[in-house]
Amino acid sequence: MNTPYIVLKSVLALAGLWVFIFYFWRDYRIDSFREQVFSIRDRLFLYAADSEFGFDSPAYKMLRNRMNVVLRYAHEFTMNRFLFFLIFRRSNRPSEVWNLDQAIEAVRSQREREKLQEFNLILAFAIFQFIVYRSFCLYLITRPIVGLSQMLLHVDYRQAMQNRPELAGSVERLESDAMEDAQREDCEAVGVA
Amino acid sequence: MASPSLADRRQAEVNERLSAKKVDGVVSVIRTFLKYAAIVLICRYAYLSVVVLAGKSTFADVGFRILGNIKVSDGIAYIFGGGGLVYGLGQRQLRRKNVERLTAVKNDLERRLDPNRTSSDLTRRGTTPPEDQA
Repeated sequence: MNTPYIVLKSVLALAGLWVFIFYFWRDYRIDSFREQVFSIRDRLFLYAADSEFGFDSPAYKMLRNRMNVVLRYAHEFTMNRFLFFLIFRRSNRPSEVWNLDQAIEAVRSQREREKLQEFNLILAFAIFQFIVYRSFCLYLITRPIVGLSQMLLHVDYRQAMQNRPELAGSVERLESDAMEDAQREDCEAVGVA
Repeated sequence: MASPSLADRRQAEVNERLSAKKVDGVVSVIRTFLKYAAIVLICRYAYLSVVVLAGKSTFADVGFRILGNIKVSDGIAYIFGGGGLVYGLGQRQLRRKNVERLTAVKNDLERRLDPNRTSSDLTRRGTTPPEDQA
């Protein structure tokens, strides 16, 4: 095959790759992430139905509200914002996170408190995974490594994230940022109405 | 030293968010530029290859030589094909997860209204049961 034909073939494949990366992949990752969060929210709902704290507990309401905001603002969770919060992290936790911690601490049962913290960690891990897999290049590099290390070495990345508070903290800041946006938009909507 | 007041903390949070938005803006501009620059380059090389094929001209451009390398061309095609495969499998998994998540509650509610409700006996994910597979 002569060079111009090969160039034409490369160009057609690149054009296809361009459409795939900028449209299909991006939308697919957001859909996949939302499905994951819907599933976590459903499990939280079922857990609350059987729990002592119930649906009126501030901890449940806050956690569910967090998940709703995460679902709505999933498109805003980007690697650059995550890295910004990771590099320029402050000692203080965002007020929303602090309020959630207080609400969980107010739950009477130790087992239920731990379970609520676990739901919060599962959500934070899902966001972190989404940020990494959102980029097709990062997905190609990290997915095989993650898959093989989980299969062969039984690495628990969620546990690893719990042991790295700076990662969880940066994800919490992303969540808080989205919560702030949601509050502002709600206020603006009320103002307009 | 006294700990920062609530107002100071709120102000620090607002400043941090503002800085994050500025970074977002810059990155967004760079990303958009790269996105459309890629399309311009793709169109340019498509045009050049057609011109060369028509016999009107010959090119010794670096990009033309790279894209004309059979290994590079095959590599791009493999990534495109592999990406499509991952995408297809991912979409299938997503649809099955969705069926599993949505039908459980719906079936439960339907069973409450109609205890004699019949079932397709598919798996929870909407696939053919293993015992029915040939």
